[in-house]
Formats: sequence, C-alpha cells, structure tokens
Amino acid sequence: MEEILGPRLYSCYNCRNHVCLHDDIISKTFQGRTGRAFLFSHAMNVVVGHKEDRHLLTGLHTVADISCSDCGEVLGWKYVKAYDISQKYKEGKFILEKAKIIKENW
Amino acid sequence: MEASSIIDIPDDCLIFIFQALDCQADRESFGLTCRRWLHIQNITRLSLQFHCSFSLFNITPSQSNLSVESYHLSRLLTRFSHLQSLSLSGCTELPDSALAQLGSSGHRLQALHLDCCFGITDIGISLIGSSCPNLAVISLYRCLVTDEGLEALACSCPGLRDVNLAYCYLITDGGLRALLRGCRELRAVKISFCRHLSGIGFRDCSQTLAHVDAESCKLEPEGIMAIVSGGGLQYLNISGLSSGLRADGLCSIGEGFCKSLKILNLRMCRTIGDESILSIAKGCPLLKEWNLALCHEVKLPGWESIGRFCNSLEVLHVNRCRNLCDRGIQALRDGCRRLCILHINRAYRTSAIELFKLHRGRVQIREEEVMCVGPDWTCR
Repeated sequence: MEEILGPRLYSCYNCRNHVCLHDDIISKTFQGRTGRAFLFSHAMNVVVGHKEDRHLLTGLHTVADISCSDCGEVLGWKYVKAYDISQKYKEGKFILEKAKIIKENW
Repeated sequence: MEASSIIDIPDDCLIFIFQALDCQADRESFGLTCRRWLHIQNITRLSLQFHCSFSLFNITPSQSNLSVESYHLSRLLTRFSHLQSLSLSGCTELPDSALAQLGSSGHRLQALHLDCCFGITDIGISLIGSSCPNLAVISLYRCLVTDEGLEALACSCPGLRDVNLAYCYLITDGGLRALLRGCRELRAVKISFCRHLSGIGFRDCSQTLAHVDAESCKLEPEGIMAIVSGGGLQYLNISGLSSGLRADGLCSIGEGFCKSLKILNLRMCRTIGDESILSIAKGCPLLKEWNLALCHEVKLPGWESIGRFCNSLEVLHVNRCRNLCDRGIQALRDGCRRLCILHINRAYRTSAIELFKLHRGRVQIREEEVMCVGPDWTCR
C-alpha cells in the first residue's frame, strides 16, 4: 500500500497547477459541460471570470467561469448567487469538471 | 547586314530580361506574347503557393472557395517545371495520388509545405521521397504521418535540413530516430505537441542540429539528454513540459553538451528547480535569451545562480514566477551584466522593481508575456 504524504491534491490537467483538495469536496454528483463534476468548498490558483446569469439543470444562477491561473484553461465555474432557497447552499462554492482536473500523485 | 529581330535572342538572354522586369503588368504581358515566351515565364517561377496557404508569404487569403484537386496540381506542375518551393498548405482534401505528379520535376524541389494536408498519408510521403531527393525543407504540421513515413523520408532525402512535425501525434521515438540517423545534415526539428515522443529518438543526432522546438511534449530526462547530445544546439524550446520532471531533471542541459546554446525557453516548466537552473547557468555560457515564465519552483538559490553565472544573458523572462521574491530580483539586479530586457509583472513586486530600475537604468522592463522566443521556424 502506497504511503500518501500530505493532502490529496487535484491539478489542472493542462499544466498541473494545484487547484483544489480532495478534502474540500462537498458533492460528486454534479453535471458540468463535459460530463461529471464535483462541488468544492475552496479552489486555489484559479482566476474568476465575469459574472453571468445561466440556466442550469437546477434553475437560474449567477455564475462566474473559473480558469487556471497559469495556463488559462477553463476548469469550471463558481456559484455567485442562487435564486432558489434550496440552492442557496451552493453560493460561494466551486464546480470543477472531472475531465479538467487530475489527481496529483495519489 | 541582316536585320536581327527579338526572335533571335537565345533563351537564357530572355530569362535574364524577364527577371529584370519589375512591374507585374510587364511580366504578365511577357507571358502573353507567344508560346515560347510563356514557357520562359513558366520556367522562371521558383515558388508556388495556393490561396489557402497561410502565413508563408504574408499574402491575405482571398475569398475564393475553390478547393485544390489532383488535376489542378497536375496541370500546374506540368506548367511550372522548375519550382524550388511548393506549398500545398491548407489543401485539406488533396489525396496521396496527387503527389505522384511530382515525379517529373521533383528533383529541383527544395522546399515542400504540407501543413494541414489531412488527405496525405505515409504513401504520399514515400512518393515525395522518391520524387524529390534534393528536398531540404519539409513541413508536415498536423499531417497523419507515422513512423513509416519518416523512415521513407530518411532513406530518400538525406539532405533534409528543416523538418516541421508539429502536432503529428502518430509519430513515435522510433520514427524520429530513423529520421535523425538518415538525415545527418538536419539543422532544425520541430516536434511541438507530439504527445508520444519522449525524446530518446534524438540519441546520436549530428552536430548540425541547432534548433529543436519540443513545446508541450512529454519529454523524459533521458530524452532531454539525447536532445542535447549532438553538441551543436543553439535554440531549445521545451516550454509546457507536461511530464512532471524532478527538480534536477534538466541538469543534463548544463553538463557540457550545450556550450553553444543561445536561446532557451522553459516557460511553464513548473517543476524545474534550483539544481537544474544552476547547472544550466554554469554550463551554457553563451546563453542570450532565457524564458523562465511560470517556473514556480525556482527559488532564491536559482535566481542567485542566474545572476552570478549568466554573463551573456540579454533577455530574461520571469513573468508570474511565484517564488521570485525581492531578494531574487536583487540577485538579478546585482548580476547579469549584459541584460537589456527583463519581462516581469510589475504588480507583485513594485518596490523591488523600482530599486532595479534605479540601479540598472539601461534595462528595459516589459510586462508582456512572450510565448515564442527566438527565430520563427517559417522564416528560414
């Protein structure tokens, strides 16, 4: 069994820039543009883009696309505002698409 | 005395006269005069490219939707039989059979561009090889060529100097090794974005290899050692290295084989550390331009070694390096005597940069992040 030292990190698939921790995953059952996506409470080394209103599967939200700070690849989005009471828990959290992140050494 | 007419002038004099014409209208009228003069006009044409070719001679593409077919090419090649440079770039539908027309006049062809010719496969490449033995420049950007095609080229075109294999994702190290073994005069190789290459195909490359562009390849440490083993490298681009090399993964560049290296692009090699930097700074005394943008693992010892050993460095790129602290900028300020241009983001280290400008007023500080440094491959 391999020893895992340190926190379990995910990186941008393009440039291996560390973007989030496995421990910050809130849910794994989201759908992104390219397939399955995870909801994270924190993301690092990402650039948050402009806010826009989007109709997602769960209703109208204000979201901002996040991209890798090094290579600029769009990795997902951040929920800025939710207009339904049941979706309020998502505000301030990040969606990162499974296809765009890779496990870093674990 | 007999009156002589212009018909008596021999062909070589007519060629000389034609080449002295500088007005396009005159040249066109020359060809319209008679069949013989049309023939003269045809044989003086040395290069041909189509409206769909991009970038080659800075000609803006016309709006024509005509796609180039085999019979177009055969008529054009029969008409222009003395071509030295042919660009079929952008002719995406052209099949292998079209290249059979090169047989008659191919021995004069020196440069061939097949960028984005998605219909060309290894069969077409072997046809080129057999028809054009004097080929010096070939560009196969995004072509579906495999190792077999490269082997065919290596056997039939030993005088190849410049080869562009960017985005040829089907080739492997075996094909590259065959190409480098067969073409001992190879000067420039571009293998950007070829994800299956680790670089070991470069082993035993000749000393003429001066320009290697391996942007965004998954190079291994042995591969990098092989690339520099020729000894004549002057330009190396390994930006966007997608394999996670260790901090000392690039030490082989500084171990004596790269004494003539002038331009090194390590942009986004985020795992490269201070040991590699020290080795390169010591081992490449002629280094003139070095791009270290986004190299986050380079810390103070690395910056200090650059300041101390890079005495020929004229242009340095350190955009967005996370571990470039104030003391690192000070180390660069106190060293690199020949520095002319520094590419750095002002936003994070304003006071250190102001001190830099105070002490080294001659150095230009630029904010722009440059991805392509050094000579452009197409401008040869």
